[in-house]
Amino acid sequence: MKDIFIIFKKELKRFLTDKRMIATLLLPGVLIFCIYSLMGTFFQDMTANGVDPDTQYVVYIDRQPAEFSVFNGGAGMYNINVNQNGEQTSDGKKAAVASGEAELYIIYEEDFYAKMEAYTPASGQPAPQVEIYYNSTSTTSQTMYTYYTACLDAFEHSLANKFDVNAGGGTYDLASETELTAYILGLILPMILNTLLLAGCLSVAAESIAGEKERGTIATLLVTPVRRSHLALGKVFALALVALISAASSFLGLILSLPRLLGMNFTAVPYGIGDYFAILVIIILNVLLFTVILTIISTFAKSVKEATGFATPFMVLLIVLSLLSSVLPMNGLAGYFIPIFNSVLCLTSLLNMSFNLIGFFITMVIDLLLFGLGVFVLAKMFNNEKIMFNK
Amino acid sequence: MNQEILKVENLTKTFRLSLKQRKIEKTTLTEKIAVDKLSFSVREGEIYGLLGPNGAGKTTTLRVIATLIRPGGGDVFVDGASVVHDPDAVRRQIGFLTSELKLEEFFTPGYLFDFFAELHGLSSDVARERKKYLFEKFGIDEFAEVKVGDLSTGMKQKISLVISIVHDPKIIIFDEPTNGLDVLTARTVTDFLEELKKDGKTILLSTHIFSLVEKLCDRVGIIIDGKMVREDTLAALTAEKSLEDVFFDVYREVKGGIA
Repeated sequence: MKDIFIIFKKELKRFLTDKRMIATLLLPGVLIFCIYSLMGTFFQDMTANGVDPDTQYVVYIDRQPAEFSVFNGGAGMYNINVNQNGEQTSDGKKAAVASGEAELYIIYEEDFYAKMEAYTPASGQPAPQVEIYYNSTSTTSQTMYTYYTACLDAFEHSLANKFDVNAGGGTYDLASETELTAYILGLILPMILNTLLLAGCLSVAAESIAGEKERGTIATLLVTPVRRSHLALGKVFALALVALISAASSFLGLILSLPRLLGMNFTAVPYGIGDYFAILVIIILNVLLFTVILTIISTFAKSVKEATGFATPFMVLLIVLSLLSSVLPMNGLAGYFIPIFNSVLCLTSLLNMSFNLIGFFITMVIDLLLFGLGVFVLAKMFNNEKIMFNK
Repeated sequence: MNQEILKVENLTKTFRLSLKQRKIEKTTLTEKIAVDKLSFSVREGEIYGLLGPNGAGKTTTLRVIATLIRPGGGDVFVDGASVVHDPDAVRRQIGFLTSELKLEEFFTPGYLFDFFAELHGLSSDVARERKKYLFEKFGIDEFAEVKVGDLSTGMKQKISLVISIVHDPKIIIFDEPTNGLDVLTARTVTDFLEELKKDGKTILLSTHIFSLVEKLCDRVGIIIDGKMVREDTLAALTAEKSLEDVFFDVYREVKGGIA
């Protein structure tokens, strides 16, 4: 047992005192945080809530019916500066929109409102026209165009109003914000998390075994009296711990950036300490399993490059399994007997608040059994000269 | 006469030839016999030299003894432990040095020495003393805290040597110990081998350098094509002719000429 610890210590030192390695391990988390936060900020800017209240929108309107003047208020979101029936020529106004001086130029037909009221679609005559000139390269012009067309469309619909859907002032979406958040997390988080865990395991596993084989340093270890199984265990535990650190960084980056990404207020985080503990157990189990699988792949490979190549099909399988769990309706416990898939099920059920304790225990037993089997296979592989010295 | 501490009995090792290798070697055989029923023994306290041309099976034999690869047939006993049945015990008895065993370049010689000392179960006091002695002897002490990757080739070889005998093994196996070394380092190594012999260590070395064998070895085994073709004490072998002449006579006898 002492040997396992000695190997474990050395592997940790290898990874945790190498600045470049540490950067590789922690970078995904930092990147995730930055990218997701930026994406979140960007999405929010795209919505009306993100509009700068100080922006002045200049709109030229010719012959606007008095009934429509209410649109010019900007619905409390936009600060619109309306220039009604200005003396400029029509072309001058269009030029102003084209140059960006004004956002919009709207022209109503003569007696638009009367014509509109008199109009029946069955007559076959052309309907009264509203022309709106805008500039698609300007975001402010686009915003105004979207706003006015929405107002006019809404008005047009109200003219032929036969019935309403959800027109009352009440809240019709009965899901609480907590449940909605949980649902979204349950859908996307397992896949992202598993991919991150795998990426963390892969870089260290490939380096630790295939890298040592490639550089001929593993043979130096193989001539010491350490038992092959102890060597395998020491390496796997150290790699799992390092991968866990990388995973923790990614997970933290993800959790911290989620409020901004989803544009939500996380004041009421929907999970308790028990949930977090279960998530932690699943992460540890997953990391152990991934590490042992990737270490086997890495041991089989001749070089780091080959190890990374061999791991790709496994990565694809993992992503497919992660996605399946959110698509397939899984009733009963059958799914919990399938490795990897079971951990995704556990995570999904935890995150969307339908946790299955028996399923969780089945997952733990299955994963630990597989881990033991993996270490056994690994020790056998370490004893096989064809695998250890394949050049 | 001292007792036999290392016994190689009917050792056989074959390697499967890939299609590519078969084309290169222009053969239809699917297997190559690297070691062919080889038997010899090394007595306690002597230096035994395995002499042979490239591809004779010297390195394969040493790798089997070091338990890196398994014998196809036969067995090797190191101080009574079989490489087939008790490889862990064999590894405890021996120090193995070959150019194919590399050190991780990320670490310093000091750290690597401590790591391997710990793996061999040395107490920290013993390890410290031994480190001081060996590092001073080979001039590594100045570079003890410099990463191996930043050191010269000669220095790396010296560190490999020191690491291979970190546990003060009874039996030391060297594969081409002076290969690739400059004259100064090579001299340090040969002097050290003599010193080890004086300390009562048993040494098995493989080489194709005649002068090295003449200088160091008590007994010599000449291997050609995986077979032992001549084995005797150095004195008996070189009674009439130089070792080089003896070798070429034997080679001509076996191969019918020098290719």
